[in-house]
Amino acid sequence: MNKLFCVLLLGLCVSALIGASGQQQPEAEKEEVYAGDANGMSSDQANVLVNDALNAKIDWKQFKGTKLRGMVYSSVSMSNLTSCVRGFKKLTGIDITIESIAAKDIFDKMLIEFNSGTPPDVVLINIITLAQYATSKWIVPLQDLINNRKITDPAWYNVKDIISAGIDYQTYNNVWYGVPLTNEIELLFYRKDLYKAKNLKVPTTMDELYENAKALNSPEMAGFVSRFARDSGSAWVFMGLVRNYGGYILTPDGKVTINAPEFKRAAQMYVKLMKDTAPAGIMNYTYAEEQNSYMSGKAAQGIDSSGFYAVFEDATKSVAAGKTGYAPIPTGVAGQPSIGNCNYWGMGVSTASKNREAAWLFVQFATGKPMARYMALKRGMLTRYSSINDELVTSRYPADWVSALGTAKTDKYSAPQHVSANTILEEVMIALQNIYSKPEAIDGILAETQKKVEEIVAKK
Amino acid sequence: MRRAGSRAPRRGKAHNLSRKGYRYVYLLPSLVVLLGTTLFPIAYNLYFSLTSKRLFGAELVSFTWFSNYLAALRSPLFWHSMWVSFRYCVFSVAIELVLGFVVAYLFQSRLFGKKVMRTLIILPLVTTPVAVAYVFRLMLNPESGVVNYLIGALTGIRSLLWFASPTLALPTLIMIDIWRATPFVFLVMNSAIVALPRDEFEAAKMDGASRLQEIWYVLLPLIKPIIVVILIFRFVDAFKAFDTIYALTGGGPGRVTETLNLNIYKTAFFGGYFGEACALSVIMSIIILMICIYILKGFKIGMLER
Repeated sequence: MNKLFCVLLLGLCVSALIGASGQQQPEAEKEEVYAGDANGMSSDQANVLVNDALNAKIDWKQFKGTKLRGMVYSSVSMSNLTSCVRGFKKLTGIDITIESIAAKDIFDKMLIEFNSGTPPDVVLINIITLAQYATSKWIVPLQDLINNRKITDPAWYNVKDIISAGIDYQTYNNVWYGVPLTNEIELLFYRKDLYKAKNLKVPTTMDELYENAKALNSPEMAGFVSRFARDSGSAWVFMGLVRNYGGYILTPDGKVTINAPEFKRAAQMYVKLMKDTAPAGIMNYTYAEEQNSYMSGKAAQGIDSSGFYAVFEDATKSVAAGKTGYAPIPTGVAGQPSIGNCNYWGMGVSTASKNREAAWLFVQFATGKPMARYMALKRGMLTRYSSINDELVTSRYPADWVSALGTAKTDKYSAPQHVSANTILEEVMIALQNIYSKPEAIDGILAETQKKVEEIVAKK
Repeated sequence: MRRAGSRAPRRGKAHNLSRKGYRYVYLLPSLVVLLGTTLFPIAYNLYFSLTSKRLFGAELVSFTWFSNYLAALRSPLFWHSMWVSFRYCVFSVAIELVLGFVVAYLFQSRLFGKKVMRTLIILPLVTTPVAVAYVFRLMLNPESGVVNYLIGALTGIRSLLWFASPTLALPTLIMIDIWRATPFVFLVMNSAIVALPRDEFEAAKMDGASRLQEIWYVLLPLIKPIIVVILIFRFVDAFKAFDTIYALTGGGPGRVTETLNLNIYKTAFFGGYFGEACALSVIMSIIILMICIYILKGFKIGMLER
């Protein structure tokens, strides 16, 4: 009996092994079965990138077998980056792993990574972290890598095609550190159907926006939604608003102006919008809650990134798809042009990387013309002039969205240019939340925040 | 061959010493690991607390002696976060102790479905704090949460801002801590009560003691050492609370729920002031140690007393 059992067991194991080996496919065949995931890139699209990159006069295989690490924050746009990885692997033989970190934790996580001495080879940089990374010498100036003909084909990569503002936003003390991968400009999004039903006009001033928000506000639907949590990322919308009222958090020459009348007016308006017309739990709203609120039809309008277009217009997830209008953010001071905040997430190479040149190959691949075009078509991220001038790209988006982006004025100094920009912005958000709780104490709160931020700036 | 009844040959002093030496050799690996994983980080932390170490910037590290400690003690933010931690600790631990004891005591009587209830009660203990945070975040969502829906249906009160209201945020966090940690108190108290000898209780009954007198004069004195252990465990744990608070409020609204531990994290990994954060963590450790000693002395429980 025991013998029979053993024979049966052995037979089972052998047949399982044969079955498993029969399911294995040759390497080439395996690549064919890749299907485009929900937010990712299909194998055909990845092949387009690879075939275009083969036109570059560099040896993409020169670092074959190298292992690289990259880190991004989790978002729809970044999911496209993670999925272009397989095209890069196929092209170069370099094995790169991209880790996704929750958006609110990315700054802290990167700080820990850099201090550990073994940060990712490929890193994300934006205007908030640029000063910190550059001053700490954590990121490599790009010019040497670009000038190296062994790893860069200037004709294929075409630096002149990259939007100059994008390069400017990735430049600190006249040194260029990152290549823009995404770009976002602050704009107004609103429900066209509700505007029509209430016979409202698209606002051109913040006062008009407030009136519209009040008209649209009801127990079932908030009249306005934006970010209002206390983390520094949530300060993004307000930063633009301060500039729109003619103020600064930190002036270009490094002076703190939180107690200035322009800042106060911006703070009063933002808090008023939140208090009177935003959803009840707005104090915990990061961009994710804001998106959910608008997409589920619980908010009528808001101010935030142009990059939200892709999620708002996804009919499978958003009730606002096809019903959303876009406009430049209303100006704070009537008669003056509106200034929207802007953000370019760029990719750079960390100084601690032992494979800088291989890492640069990935940056080049992920920010080259074909990938930029793909990001423009799929997510509305315009980082190259060729994408802006591409008729297929512009025809894919609503005219008001393209126009809002084209007419938006931006100012690099809407974000504080300081190594402690994160801490400064969190202090600003804490001040706004305190004003929300005690509007009558606004002067005292702003004076206290001014003092705190001055101390932070003085510390260096 | 030794003759029967003869004594074993006497080993010399040198042999005894070498035997003792072997003991230390055997202990060495554990000692090295212990020193490496506990004492070294503490010493390193102490060293950094005396320096100007920052996590970013080009500035070199300089020795600043006790200036970080003085700066921390002078900072209103330090005292504010201390006050938040203190309130969080006192309220959550006190309520957990009372609740845990009451449930453990009730479990001594005959209850229907006791085993199932015990399993259900200890479930919060095995859940991940961040997962707990996100479940509560959904349940207490002012617009779509089930709790506000039920309260609204029963009382007509709508939109209670559990995490966004400056008055409700801290009590809500305390409530979540109570939900999460009371099972621990219950579990330990229950085991302690079950293991008690019954003689004292029978004697008290024969002397005509009421149920309350039995609890006050017999049960509580008998489980006093266990209560102290729970108190210390829970106090230390609540004082160091981080994950749930970070995930739910991040210290907000404003700074209403910014505990000392959160303040240390923000100082180090957000502001990059590592030296200051190390000094704050040393101060926090000293505070915890002092309060633990006070609890032990207050309850007249010696660490080595039998």
